[in-house]
Amino acid sequence: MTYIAKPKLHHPSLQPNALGFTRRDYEGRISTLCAGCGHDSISAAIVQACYELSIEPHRVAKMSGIGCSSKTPDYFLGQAHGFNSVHGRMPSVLTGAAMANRDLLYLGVSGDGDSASIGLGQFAHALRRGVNMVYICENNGVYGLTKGQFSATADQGAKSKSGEVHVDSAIDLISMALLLGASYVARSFSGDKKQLVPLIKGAIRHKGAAILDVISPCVTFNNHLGSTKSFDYVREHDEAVNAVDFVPAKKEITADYEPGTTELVRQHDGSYLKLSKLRPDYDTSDRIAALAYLQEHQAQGELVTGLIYVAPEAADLHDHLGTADTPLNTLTEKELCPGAKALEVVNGEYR
Amino acid sequence: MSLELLSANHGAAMAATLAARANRKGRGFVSGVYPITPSTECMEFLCNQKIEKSHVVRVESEHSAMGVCIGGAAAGARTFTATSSNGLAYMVENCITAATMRFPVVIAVANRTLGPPWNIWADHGDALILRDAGIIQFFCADNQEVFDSVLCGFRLAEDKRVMMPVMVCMEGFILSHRTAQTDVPEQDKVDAFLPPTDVPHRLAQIPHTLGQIEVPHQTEMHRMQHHAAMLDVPAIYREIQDEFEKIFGRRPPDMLVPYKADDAETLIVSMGTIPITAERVVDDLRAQGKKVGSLRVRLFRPLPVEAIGRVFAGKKRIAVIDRNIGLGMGGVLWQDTRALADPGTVVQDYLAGMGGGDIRPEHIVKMVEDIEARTASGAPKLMEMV
Ligand SMILES: Cc1ncc(C[n+]2csc(CCOP(=O)(O)OP(=O)(O)O)c2C)c(N)n1
Ligand code: SF4
Ligand SMILES: [Mg+2]
Repeated sequence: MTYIAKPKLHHPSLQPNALGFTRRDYEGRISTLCAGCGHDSISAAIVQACYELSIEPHRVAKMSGIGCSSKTPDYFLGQAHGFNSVHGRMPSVLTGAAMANRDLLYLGVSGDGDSASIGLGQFAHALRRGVNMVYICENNGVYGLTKGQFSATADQGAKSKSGEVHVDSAIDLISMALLLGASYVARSFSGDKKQLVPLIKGAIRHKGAAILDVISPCVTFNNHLGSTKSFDYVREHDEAVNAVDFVPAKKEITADYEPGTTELVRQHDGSYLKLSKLRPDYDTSDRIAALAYLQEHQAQGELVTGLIYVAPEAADLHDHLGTADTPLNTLTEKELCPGAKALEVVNGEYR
Repeated sequence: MSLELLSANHGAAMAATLAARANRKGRGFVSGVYPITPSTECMEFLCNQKIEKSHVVRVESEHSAMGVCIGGAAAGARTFTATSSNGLAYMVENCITAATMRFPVVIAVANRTLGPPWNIWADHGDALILRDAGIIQFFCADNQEVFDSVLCGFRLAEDKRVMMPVMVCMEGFILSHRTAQTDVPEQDKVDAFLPPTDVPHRLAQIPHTLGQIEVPHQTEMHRMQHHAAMLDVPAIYREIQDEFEKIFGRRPPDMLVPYKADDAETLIVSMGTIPITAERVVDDLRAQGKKVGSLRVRLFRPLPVEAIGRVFAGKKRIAVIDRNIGLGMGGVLWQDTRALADPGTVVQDYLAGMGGGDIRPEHIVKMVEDIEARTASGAPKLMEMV
């Protein structure tokens, strides 16, 4: 945590968005992470995505667990709500908040230790339930905050800074998410803002459980030769399946977006994901094929990035439960008790 | 013996390593570990040791860390783990399992404030959540004591009359990260002190199941057996001290450490590193002619109530310092000891150093001044640590 607020100065050249906010309004306090940490780049991408989508900061709830990654919500969207829960337990807290107030945008920020090691159970169940959220796992293969022990996403055979070899097999959160029924599944790299920002925007506009696994090198403990979560390794082994662009609902779809190698995916709110296919054999709507594709490339040491799977018209937990459109915490007596006439109608249906 | 510069975290791990090696003639050593500040250095040191017939498993959570110890102990191995704060809180369910299943796991705890909100500094509140779980609890005052308590902890935990987990507490950073000269004995002496682990109910030749359902009278019987075994700990600990002294040539501290308490009118009672400061205050105030003494409670569970009662006898004022608060009641050490004083004695609780604030001599002097001005005990009082 930091206690150093950034000075509230807006450079005159900063462009306001549709709400009149500049990018600066989406920032948080000064980061205390190590200089060069991948997590800071992800924070910057979240700021950019929210700014570009003109998200009202006070409509966002930043939920996190414990770790360097889970500390980052302090460093972006300073005007949003935040809750720093316990290690690995963010998904259940987020679920509770989303059940009580469905009107906020839930942004879950976690790390590979928080999600894949101690919190694997909660991670799995939140995705399985289809909680409407954007879940970002800032994945560096280590527990950065406790000084670099291997996490459950570290690759088998990866070498620690002190030369120790990791023997356990790795958990791939993205493959897991596909199996568990997540409806928006993407992977990116903290060093690839061009790919990351539209993926975050797409996830924000998605209804359902959206998961982004963002490889985010820990420059202090896991950025050496032999680490598969280092900047160099990821740059060399990145296999992008598509180049993603995000088209907001209001923007007209012009000929420019016509297919060829380009595919348009319409999300439930009318926005579009524009995918320029880099791999002609890749289909974002086929969950099983996506899983097979991931596994094949993983076996070759390649890291598949991009939009891996999306179910545009997915159902979320609220749909499954048939909850009211009005958030639970604002329902009034009047809505709960619609009166004798309405009851008559209901009773009539049972006669 | 060799003198080594070790932090208390490393000291605890060093002692566990020697104990682990000592069981090479027995059923080996198993440990499950997961890092958490300020205990991490203990598990890291342990992971870096070469120990024959041992496995230290870097599991994915504290719950599993204790699970590995439970499974290891059920198979007859010597077992150890280390944690802190919310790590211990997350471990609680399996700590209770280790206790009720009577497994001799030794747990080193670097005491840290429970969160959220997050605070990494010292507070006894983490260990105290397990005070009623059937786990022996030592609170240590210095590095040597942490080292010795881990060694004694194995001997005590594995004694057939005891057979239960032992927790060795050191205040986070204040002790866990303090480097001090530590007397590290040779392996053959540790071998002589620690006979091979023998868990009588381990899963061995005759197949049986542990932990099945039981009916009320069986639960009653098990609880009372466990309770009775805890009550035997003070006497058994004394035997272990004698044995330790015979083998290593020095004596680990008593379960209670009175300091100039005999003729004291005002007695300061505390745990962990706080009594070390209190003893200095006692010297200062004695130089001014004040009859002040200190009592260090080293063994908190089982609480040596009779022995404490003997030290309390005849005192006019007893100032209890609690680096914790039992919310809705008051400091835990005060709750547990106030009934042990003579009727009419002023027993005042001072809440100090919660969340890791320093407890300095001037704070304790203020407590003594405060209690001397009292004619009756009052509600627990928060000492401002400014
Ligand atoms: C119950 C519990 N156990 C252990 C810890 C200590 N701890 C804090 S962060 C962390 C790992 C964080 O790893 P990750 O989620 O990958 O985050 P990173 O720091 O790498 O971004 C651990 C083990 C804790 N806070 N709570
Ligand atoms: S330790 Fe690693 S993960 Fe944590 S802030 Fe530093 S570089 Fe980032
Ligand atoms: Mg990590």
